[in-house]
Amino acid sequence: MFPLLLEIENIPAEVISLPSAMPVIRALLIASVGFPLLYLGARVIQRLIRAKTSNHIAVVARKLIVYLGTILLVASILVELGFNLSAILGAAGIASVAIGFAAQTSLSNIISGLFLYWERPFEIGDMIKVGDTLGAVLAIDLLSVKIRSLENQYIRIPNETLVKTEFTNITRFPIRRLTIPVGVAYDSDIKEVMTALQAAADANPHCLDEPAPLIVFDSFGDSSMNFVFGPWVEKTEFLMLKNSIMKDIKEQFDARGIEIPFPQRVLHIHPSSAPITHSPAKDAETEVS
Amino acid sequence: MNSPTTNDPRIFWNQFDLKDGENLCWDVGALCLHAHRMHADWSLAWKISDSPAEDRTEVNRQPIPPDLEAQRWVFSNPLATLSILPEMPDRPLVVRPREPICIPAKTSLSSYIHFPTQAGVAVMDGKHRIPLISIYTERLSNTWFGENTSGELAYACRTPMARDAESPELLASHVLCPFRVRNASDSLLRLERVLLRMKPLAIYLGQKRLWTNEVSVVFKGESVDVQIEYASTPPQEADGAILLTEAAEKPDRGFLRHAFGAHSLFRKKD
Repeated sequence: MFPLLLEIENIPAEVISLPSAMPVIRALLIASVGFPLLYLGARVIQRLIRAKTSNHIAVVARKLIVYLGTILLVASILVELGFNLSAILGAAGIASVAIGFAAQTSLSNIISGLFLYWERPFEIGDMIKVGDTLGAVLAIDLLSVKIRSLENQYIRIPNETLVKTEFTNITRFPIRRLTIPVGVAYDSDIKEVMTALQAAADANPHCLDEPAPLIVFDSFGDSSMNFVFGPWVEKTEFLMLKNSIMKDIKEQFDARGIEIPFPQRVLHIHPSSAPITHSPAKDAETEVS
Repeated sequence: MNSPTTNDPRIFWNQFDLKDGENLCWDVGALCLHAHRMHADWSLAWKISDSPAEDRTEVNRQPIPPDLEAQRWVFSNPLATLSILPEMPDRPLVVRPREPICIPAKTSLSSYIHFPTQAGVAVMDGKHRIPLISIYTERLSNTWFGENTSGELAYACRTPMARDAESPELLASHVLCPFRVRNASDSLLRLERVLLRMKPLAIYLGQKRLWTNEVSVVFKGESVDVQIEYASTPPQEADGAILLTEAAEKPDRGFLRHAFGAHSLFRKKD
């Protein structure tokens, strides 16, 4: 006899009625046919929705179908086995109050997860930055969001954290601007520097022609005149631009004789801080007088 | 076997028979392509230089230069003929005239836009073409057309928008597109850039150059849809031209762009 049936025998008769062989077979049939069908159906619907909308909505729809289907299948199996569902649900209602107090954090995460589904601040595949954590969204689940970091680490962020804190969706928009601070020597021609930066952008095929790159004379630094160079790039080519544009800037600067200075200090010696020198003749004069 | 250096496109957009162990060096535009046949296998390697050199083709028995990274295609039977045909760029083109062009009300402009094609490399199995790869003959810069939060990625291309088909100095890899604009509105049209979609354009081989079908645009005002028409025949200027590459999409007559299209075709500087 199954261990499950042995346990069922010990439960009071008003809660369950002892199952005969047929209900068990029916329950097994529901489980063995229902669950594979549920997962298969959910996958098919996910594919259909993905073709029409986005991967994010498709995944959410699949999970919703799986969760609801699982609840229905488990309920059906319990009914087949002779469980009195209304008694179980009544007990579950009382238990849920106690569980609610004990599982405040989990409930908070679930509700936060619903907000994230509704607001959709990011989708699966988006690159997000939460605090110091940067990575691509792998999954948006009921309790947490899973991220794969650039170092290929698996990071779990509770939904509540994402609702409470500020985060950045780096790949939300199709194009991005790369911000590069550039310092040049004080004897450089400002116009020539700007021309060189524009030429670096023109020479790089990853750099978007439009919007035009940002070229700003930013500040007078301690050792250099500081510019900000901001070429635009399509988001998937961001790293390619970052890897190549520095070389282009250096080449343009070298071709035009523009120097990128090392940090330097100019020292002026004030007369009052000049070292005291001892002259023997002067010392002798002082002694005679 | 050396071919004379010329810009005649018929020399380059052609079929090349290679014996076992031979190498085709195909230098067109900025693309330098090496195709090497070894029994039933074909190896391709290429590089794109910063500035286009003189166009030339050469068949020799030298191996692919070792500094190039090759790709190999394997076939069951030895196939001796390599076909290289021009193909349209894989993205739309944002064409900017060298200087903004002002078209007064009720005035038409007939001009020619030229841009580099891609090289579609294939191996011939009898009359059947087995495509291998499509490579840029010139690396065009990326550009964005539309808002920063939505829009589309395109290639950037500057052109003189010449009034005369003979005036642009074309490389064999360049294709000439007859472009007509009619300003049917009551205001001045300032043409700064044009989004040219590649899919409805076919490529025709003329006597001296490659041609596309004609593109005609009617501008009726800022708030009215722009009417675009892609011809389905070779342009009149290309007398006796033959179809080399079919359009990816069937050219549409009287095609109306919706509100987004109106702004995406002509865009004024903010």
